Amino acid sequence: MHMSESDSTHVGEEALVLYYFGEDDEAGRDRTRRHLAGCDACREELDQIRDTLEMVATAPLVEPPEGFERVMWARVSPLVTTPQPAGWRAWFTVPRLAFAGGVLALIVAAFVGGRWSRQPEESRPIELLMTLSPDTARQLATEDHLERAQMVLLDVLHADAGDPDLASERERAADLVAANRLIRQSRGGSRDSTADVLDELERMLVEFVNRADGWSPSELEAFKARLDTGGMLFRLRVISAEMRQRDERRGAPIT
Amino acid sequence: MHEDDRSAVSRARDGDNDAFRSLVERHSRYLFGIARRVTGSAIDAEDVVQEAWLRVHRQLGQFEGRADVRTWLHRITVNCSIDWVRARRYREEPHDPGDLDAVSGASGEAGQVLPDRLAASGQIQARVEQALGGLTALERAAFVLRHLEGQSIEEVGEALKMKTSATKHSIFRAVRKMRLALEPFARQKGARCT
Repeated sequence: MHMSESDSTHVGEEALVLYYFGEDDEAGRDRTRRHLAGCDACREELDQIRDTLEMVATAPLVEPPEGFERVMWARVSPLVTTPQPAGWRAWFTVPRLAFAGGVLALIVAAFVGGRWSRQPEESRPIELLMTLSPDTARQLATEDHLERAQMVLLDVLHADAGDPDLASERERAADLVAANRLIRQSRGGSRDSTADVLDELERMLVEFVNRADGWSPSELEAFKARLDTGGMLFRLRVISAEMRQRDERRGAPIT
Repeated sequence: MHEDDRSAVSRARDGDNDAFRSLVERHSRYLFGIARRVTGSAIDAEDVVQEAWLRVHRQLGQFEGRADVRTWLHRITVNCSIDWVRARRYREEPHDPGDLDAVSGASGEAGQVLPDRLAASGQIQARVEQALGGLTALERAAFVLRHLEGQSIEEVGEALKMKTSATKHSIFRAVRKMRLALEPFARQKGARCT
């Protein structure tokens, strides 16, 4: 086939990519088509591009960890379920907070979520939230969360390895996974000792939620060892104590 | 399955938490794969999927009853992934001028893998993921949206808030890197012989 001078110039990779995607203009497409008709090298290159891109397109999606859907529900459910639909408290339901978006909404959502899982006598008044700055609300949400985490992990630590009935602990841990993620998100990218503890705590909670129902007594003991001698509980206590001290220094009226 | 999904959406819209839970548990694994492909990070994909479900919950009333639920969820997850990438672009480091060389070097080593070992889809998946890992966040997003999500370059540019020329540039670089990393496998696979 006879090619004009312009047709005989190799089209180049970028033009071939546009040709493959059908994103070149009409004139460019005609020019590329004419060139390809008479150029083995460019046809070969187009085939190589096509092979590579088809390989990408046919690769299966990456699978998430086992139990991901359960963890996802644990994270999502506190934000979308509506246990208190009536009255003035309805404004505080988490879907509205999530809809409002922003850091404060996340903080309050975590805070309110924590309230639901606490005993009434332990709860701080929800009206308090309206008076708090975002930083203070985040601080309180984090404190409460770390306290709840200690309580759950202590229960795990004291579970009977011979007959581990951990359903309740796993359910509470799943709630903590959701709250933990919210609190981490509300903190943005700040890195400090609290961030490190939150990261490690979430890894351990997710592992516990996903795998504990199939654990043998020895596996449960190994997990307990990581909680105890591995220092997780100690680090939680230290961080909580430091936060309380900061509250006291500020004279925060929060109990 | 489709009727189950539509019914679940309808019931969830009426406040049935169990129905919404069934949707979350049925589709989260798939949505993770979509988000993971765009963001390139399992941890970020988890956050994206969570955000996608919150968005789904807010938009339950907007779902059109005859539409395919999974397609709807897919689109919302892609949009959440795009938001994530756009938020991340301001933190992203500029291109390393040597990164193409690095990708090229990696492909040479990988090219020694025998073809029969590539037959398993898991191997291909691993190679593709490794290659995608060599892209910047914007290159990856632009490439995935164009090539795997079927968006036009113009649409990709609008989604990522990039000019068309920059979008093309990102896609060209992505294709170049993918070729350097994958061509040895693609050719050994013998998918096409001309």
